[in-house]
Amino acid sequence: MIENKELEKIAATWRATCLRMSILGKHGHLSSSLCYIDILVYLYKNWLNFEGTDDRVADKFLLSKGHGCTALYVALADGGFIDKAALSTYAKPHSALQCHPCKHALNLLENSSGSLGQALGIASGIAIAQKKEQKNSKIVVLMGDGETNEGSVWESAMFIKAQQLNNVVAIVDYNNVQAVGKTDEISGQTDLAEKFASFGWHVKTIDGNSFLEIADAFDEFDTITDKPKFLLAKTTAGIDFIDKATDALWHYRIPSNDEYELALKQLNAEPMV
Amino acid sequence: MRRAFSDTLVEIADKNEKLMFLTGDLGYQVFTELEEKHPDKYINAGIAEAQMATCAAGLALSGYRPIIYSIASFMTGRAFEQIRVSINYQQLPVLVVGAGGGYIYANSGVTHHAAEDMGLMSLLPGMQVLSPGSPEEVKSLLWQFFETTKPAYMRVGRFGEPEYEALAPVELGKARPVAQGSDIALLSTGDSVISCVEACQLLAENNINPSHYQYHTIAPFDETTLENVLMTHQHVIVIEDHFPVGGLYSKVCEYKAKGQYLSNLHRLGPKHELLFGAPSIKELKAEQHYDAQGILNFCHRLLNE
Repeated sequence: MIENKELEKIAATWRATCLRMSILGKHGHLSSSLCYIDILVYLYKNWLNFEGTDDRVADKFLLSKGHGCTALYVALADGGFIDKAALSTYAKPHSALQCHPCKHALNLLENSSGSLGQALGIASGIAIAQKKEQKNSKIVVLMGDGETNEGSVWESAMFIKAQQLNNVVAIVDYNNVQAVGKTDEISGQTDLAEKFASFGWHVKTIDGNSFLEIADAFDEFDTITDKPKFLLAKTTAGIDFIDKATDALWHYRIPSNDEYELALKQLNAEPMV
Repeated sequence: MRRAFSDTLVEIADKNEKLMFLTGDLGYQVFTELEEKHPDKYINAGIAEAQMATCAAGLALSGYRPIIYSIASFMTGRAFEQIRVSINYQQLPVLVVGAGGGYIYANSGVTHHAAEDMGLMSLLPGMQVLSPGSPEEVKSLLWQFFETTKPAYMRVGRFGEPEYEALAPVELGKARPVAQGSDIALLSTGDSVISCVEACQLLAENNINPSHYQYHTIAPFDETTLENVLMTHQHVIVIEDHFPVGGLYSKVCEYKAKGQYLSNLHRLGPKHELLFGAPSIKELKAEQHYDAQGILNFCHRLLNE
């Protein structure tokens, strides 16, 4: 297990790398990646095991909100699954690292994404296959908060409970900002965790930027075997000028050079590319 | 066709460990044998077509061969995005089955009409589109689907369609010759094959012998057979239970437009209009002249011109 201090450093490097990729690839969707980085660092460094053996299926991570993919590519590069140099090709024509992940271009991905509300359903199919073969792994699906506007998410939530696919973990990156509005307003000021709880899931709400709380949540999930698990992670981007924006500006914007330098200073980190 | 479908499912399940069947809460007492004999291969996913499509994608990504089943209008329309992205974009070998395609449910109202199902599915590159017309064709195409590695859509009609005699066995991707004649060629798809066979029997009494090919596969489209048909017949008539856009007629038009042919192309089938009034399928086919009598009359008219 990597200690929290070290995880924070890794997260800072990953954030710096996402910013750099956004500038190099001239593509936005920054806040969609930055907000869930701490959770992704914890998943990749401390909770998921991607080494499959004869007795054990490799754990699965499915990014459902495909637009927030710089973070995933950074995680894959940091873990040695893809070449770090490839990160600088992100979102450029013909790159394997497309701005919406494509399994055809990068086969090690679990799924292609970019159309919202589909990966939880895909996870349910993977979970049924594992159940049939009695070889369960952890199956983690990361969604955006706006993504839960999609009705298909709730079809999947119902199905996963009904089929008792208890190794599925759904995480919502709740930054309360979607493309042109606030998630709270669009969802009628209702609580997502309560909704998943009413669908029969085990739920937990945390500060998604606190490694203490993240570790706590996944420790708790390790002990829950009779329900699928839902994590509502309330998050911020972790960069002051992005978090101070009161609207969805950073869903689209690419940082200027000055903003980039400012961010690196705050993060006290250098990018991987 | 539906009985042949459920019986063949059981036969495949007996042999194929990777088969998984998901129904969208449809098929009361149709899949009982599968459910009882292979409970681990049968799932009632509930009235949730989008979920079925994505779940099937997850199963296929894990090496399984899922089939998803609902009424054609809901299966193709409601879950189109999930079929487009999770199944077809990832080119996963999932079989999407639409029961009662076309106007089989004419009497149930516009919500249940699926005269665009094959059009929607054949718009997706790489999607195989199957439209069997008899129990034998359902059975044969189902088995052959499991030899392929690409996604497919199959329109399955209703209960009780008859078998018919053809000149060749069913081969996925190839039009099936049913009769070799002259002057007129009938091109059928789905259950319009039966109306054509009946029409041909009546025409034979007047010594009129059209050629007849059954396009049980719309995609991939058998251009070779069509080329031959267009080169050797004065009149080519497409008979389909589908809108004139997106189905067999569209495929034939697209091909014919690329070349110079002397043959005249005609179509018998429902109009591209909303169908109100909830007629029976039998009434509809008679009114819009694509039952056996309609085909017969049309052929007589062509030859008397």
